[in-house]
Amino acid sequence: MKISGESDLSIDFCGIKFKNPFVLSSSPPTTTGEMIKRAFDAGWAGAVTKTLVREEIVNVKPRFASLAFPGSPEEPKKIYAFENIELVTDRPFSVWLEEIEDIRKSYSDHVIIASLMDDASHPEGWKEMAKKVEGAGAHMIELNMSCPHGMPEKGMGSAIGQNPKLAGKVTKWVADAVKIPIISKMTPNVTDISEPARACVENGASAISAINTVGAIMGVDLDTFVPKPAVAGYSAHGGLSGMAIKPIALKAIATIREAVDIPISGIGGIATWEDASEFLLMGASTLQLCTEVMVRGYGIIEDLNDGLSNYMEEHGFASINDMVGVAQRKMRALSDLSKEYKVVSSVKESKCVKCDICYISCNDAGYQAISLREDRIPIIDEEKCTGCSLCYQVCPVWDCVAMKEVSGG
Amino acid sequence: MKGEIFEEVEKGYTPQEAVAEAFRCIKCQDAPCNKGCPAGIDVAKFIRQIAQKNFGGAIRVIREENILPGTCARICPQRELCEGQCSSTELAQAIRIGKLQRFVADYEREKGAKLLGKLEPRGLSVAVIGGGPAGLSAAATLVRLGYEVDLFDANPLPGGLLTYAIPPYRLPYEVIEDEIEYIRALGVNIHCQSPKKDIPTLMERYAAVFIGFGAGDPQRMAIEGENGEGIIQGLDLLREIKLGQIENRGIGFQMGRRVEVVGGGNAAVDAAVSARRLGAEVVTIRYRRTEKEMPAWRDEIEFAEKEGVRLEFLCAPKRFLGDHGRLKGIEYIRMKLGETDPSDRAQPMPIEGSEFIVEADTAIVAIGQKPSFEAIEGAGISPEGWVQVDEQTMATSIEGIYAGGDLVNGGDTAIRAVGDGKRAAFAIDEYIKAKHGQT
Ligand SMILES: Cc1cc2nc3c(=O)[nH]c(=O)nc-3n(C[C@H](O)[C@H](O)[C@H](O)COP(=O)(O)OP(=O)(O)OC[C@H]3O[C@@H](n4cnc5c(N)ncnc54)[C@H](O)[C@@H]3O)c2cc1C
Ligand SMILES: Cc1cc2nc3c(=O)[nH]c(=O)nc-3n(C[C@H](O)[C@H](O)[C@H](O)COP(=O)(O)O)c2cc1C
Repeated sequence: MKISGESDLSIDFCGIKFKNPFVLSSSPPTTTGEMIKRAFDAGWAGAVTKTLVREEIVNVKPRFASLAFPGSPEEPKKIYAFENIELVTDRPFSVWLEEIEDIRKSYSDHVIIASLMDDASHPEGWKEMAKKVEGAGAHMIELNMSCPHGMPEKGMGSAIGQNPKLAGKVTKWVADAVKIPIISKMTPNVTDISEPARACVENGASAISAINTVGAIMGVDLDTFVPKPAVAGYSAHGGLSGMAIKPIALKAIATIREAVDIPISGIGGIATWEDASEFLLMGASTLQLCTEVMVRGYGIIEDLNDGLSNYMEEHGFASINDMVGVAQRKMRALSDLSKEYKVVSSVKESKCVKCDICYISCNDAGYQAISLREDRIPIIDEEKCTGCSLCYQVCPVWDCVAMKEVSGG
Repeated sequence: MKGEIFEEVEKGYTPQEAVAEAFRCIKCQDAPCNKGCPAGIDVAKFIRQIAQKNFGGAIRVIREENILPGTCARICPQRELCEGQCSSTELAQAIRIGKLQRFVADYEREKGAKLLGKLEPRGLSVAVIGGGPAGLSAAATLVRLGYEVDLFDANPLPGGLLTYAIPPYRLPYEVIEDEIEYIRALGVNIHCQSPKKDIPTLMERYAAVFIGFGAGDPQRMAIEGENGEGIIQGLDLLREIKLGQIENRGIGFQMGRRVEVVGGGNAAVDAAVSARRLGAEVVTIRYRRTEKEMPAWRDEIEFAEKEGVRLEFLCAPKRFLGDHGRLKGIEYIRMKLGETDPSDRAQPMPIEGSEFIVEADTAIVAIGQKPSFEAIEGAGISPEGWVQVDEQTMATSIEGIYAGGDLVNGGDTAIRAVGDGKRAAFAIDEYIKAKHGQT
């Protein structure tokens, strides 16, 4: 029995209104039109279809592997890195067209984005697919030039995104063929992500989405010697997603934002409203999620929306737009950071559990600035301390070690 | 008040402790904790929010359903409600839902509370009689639904038993005081020292009336010597202790060395613990059935035992023995359990010739409460003397008059009173809309 209204989380992205910034990325949560509809009912503002191709796809089994925090009876298992060797959609293009049309008919304030893939020698393939999804009613098109496994072997996916020339060429084909906005989806598996991004923008992309998965091998089974995930005794490298890739994604967004002035759809490791807020502050204006939804379902939208609106209220942001890029403006070249600004470590005695972890780190990987008192309380030698913060990073207690400022800069 | 004997016992969580506790939640889809809450709080959601450090969102989710979050967090019998349903019980132990709720309520109190949203004013007034949890909840919900609300309470302060009975070591007055302040800030006009009896005349001025008089009158035993010196009512003692805290003064009751407490409900347990804290050496609760039938909650009984209160079962007072009108002992008779009565508890039966005498300096009587109000003219009254209502809408048999809380349920919990008041408010809204049109 709720009386309070909802706060306004809407954002304009390439002239299209999203009622909140949260979009399902092209991935298992958007496997079918029926699933996308359920996600819209749950509150998602938009969805990118699982990537559509003209050729027939057969997936291997199994195709996932993951790393999780140990998980004890006290603490639930928490996946922090997820690997997949899944390919694009294994459902027919014609069926997808019907589903896109149906979604457009049934949902007036939700955004449906069609993800497309082909190789860089098939302009007609790209154009035909693009025109068809536009005809079916897709609001936007996302170009998958970033899938890192399976498809590159056929000249698709990241084989295009890793080559700025090809990326620009493909973007131009599609941009010329349709009127709806084009988003080019970047792969992080490049040296400088701003190059393909710039090439796409110069050739007609209205927005950039970043990032797709990070090339990875999850591990090796020590009894069978087969890397994970194992398929009939062999494995292939795949794509990493989930919270482990969030720092890579944030860096990609900052870099792209610096290079081109264009809306960015942030993807990679978003799980909570805090992650979402960080992506917005770094310069993304819509946010795409996959892995967290695979783990916890569409229902997380409620917590994302609520946490984000509470954060905005507490920090005085009147709209999502006000948040976008605020943190990116605080990025500088490392050489431009202040050399005068100094901090030194300080230990709150009342919180210290006398574990000597900070002592060991400083002694073996720092500047020997910490000594242990008789009662095992660490004592900081402020002359020797260079303020690196390793002790702060390793201290297992909240609120025990702090870096205190000794002079401004 | 002298000393710190009535300072709150349970300490709250730090933010880190709260997040760690919330993180333990395994996030069941079909959250059973939600079903355990009589006020319908989305418990699972607020736990998730705390786990994600969205404390502001968590308190909003709670307050949307329960206008007394800090109060209920402290006094709800969670083990019988939400926590009793928790799936984590099987893994290690139930999530401490009450402590999590208390954490976000206290967190917000410290940061300054944000007011919940309200609908457009509707230009119609509703009267609420009784400022206990039932009345406060009804009033807050109605004011949020766009009504002018006048709340009348007979006491100098609102809050009902929360203000005047539940001891400060479990519920400090400041907590309920702040929550009442919040309800005032929402726009409820609270009129204290305004007992109202003539409900039908109120109907001339108001579009509807909610009554939540509670059941604040002590039941009497009607046995020999009951009015002697040294014999006090549990509720009177508890009221004096709360007033001592509120007015920051000493307690006007002298506790003897040996205190006998007669009764088995929460009032008996609270009075017994309070007597211990006031310095009584030996405090014994005597209840006429067995521990299993005690209406007091298990957690409260365990707490009392920790505080040094003794429990004796299957005995009932026959008469109070006095010396020049001053209590010096109690004659009890042993009981045995007989047939099961309509409330599903075994009836206690006296065992002939089993009388025994216990020396006592003070006797505290706490054998239950009943509604203080005779009857609402024309409204249905159950054989036990409680007001009868429609379970869904809380409507009495008189059009436009709704009721909830202890008055109708025979004395239960604050959270149930909150749930009743809220449900009644939504039903009143429907009733008024049907009668006066949508706008
Ligand atoms: C000692 C004790 C301990 C308890 N401990 C707990 C606990 O730990 N947890 C828990 O959940 N519950 C506890 N309860 C029960 C809980 O206090 C009640 O269930 C709850 O207060 C009932 O709310 P209410 O609004 O129905 O009535 P009340 O709280 O009794 O409020 C009724 C109000 O109506 C006013 N009133 C009465 N007649 C009139 C009139 N004619 N005109 C105007 N105003 C009038 C009264 O002044 C009073 O303020 C306890 C009760 C007692 C006695
Ligand atoms: C199992 C799986 C399948 C995916 N399939 C696609 C795909 O078909 N097309 C695509 O553009 N991205 C695909 N992705 C990448 C996601 O859309 C997303 O870019 C990536 O997982 C990072 O986001 P996350 O950390 O929220 O999962 C897939 C990811 C996973 C885990």
